[in-house]
Amino acid sequence: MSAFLNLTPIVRVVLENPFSGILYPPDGSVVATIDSGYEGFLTIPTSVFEQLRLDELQQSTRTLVLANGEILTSKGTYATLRLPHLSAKLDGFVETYRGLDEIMLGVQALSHFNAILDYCSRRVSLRTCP
Amino acid sequence: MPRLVNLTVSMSAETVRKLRRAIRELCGSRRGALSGLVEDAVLEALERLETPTGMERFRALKGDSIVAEADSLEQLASRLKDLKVDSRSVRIISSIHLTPVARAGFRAREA
Repeated sequence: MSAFLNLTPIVRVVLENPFSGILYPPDGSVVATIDSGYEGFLTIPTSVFEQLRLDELQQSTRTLVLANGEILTSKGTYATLRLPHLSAKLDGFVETYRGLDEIMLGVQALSHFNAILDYCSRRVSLRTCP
Repeated sequence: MPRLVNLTVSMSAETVRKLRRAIRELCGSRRGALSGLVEDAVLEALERLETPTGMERFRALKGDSIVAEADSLEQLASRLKDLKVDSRSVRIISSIHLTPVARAGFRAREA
């Protein structure tokens, strides 16, 4: 399911560590915010990263530039993103950094979809690319 | 040292202005900095063009050696399991280059 939450586009997702089979959340799905200003695939809070045991895999680090120009360092590794309502499954770089408190879907993930944000009728439509 | 070739290209004045400013800020007045940055950008673009959409591959590396390779992480995990290789002992990379710097988005903020 995708929708607006206070005018912010969201989508329900399930995250998976494909090397351990661990899912987050273990049952059901969780809300991810669609952030078209984020150039990566997926950022998740450190607590979720650890619950998925992604911290046990070898990490890559990179620099993330905030909208105000400040710079921070993220760490991450590759994992799987599922969008149950579309039966979609994507692999990509999942990263985390200190202080992050929400799951954010970036343009690397969005690039696999036809995404329409219709603010007039308050509908978010995501369809997989043909 | 690879053989260097001179190349003349045309760009908008605005792009060249931005490029020169970035070079000044990042590299000062180091000789060859402009050529180096342009070559890096061209190589990155070529890599992107040579990897068609949907053709992403994942590799598990030990040091510089490829232990396993697959079209998806699920397949890669299965191959590592068959090879009895602990996934924690390998570095997973993608055929699609991970940029060392990315914009974090409008909602991201520091703790």
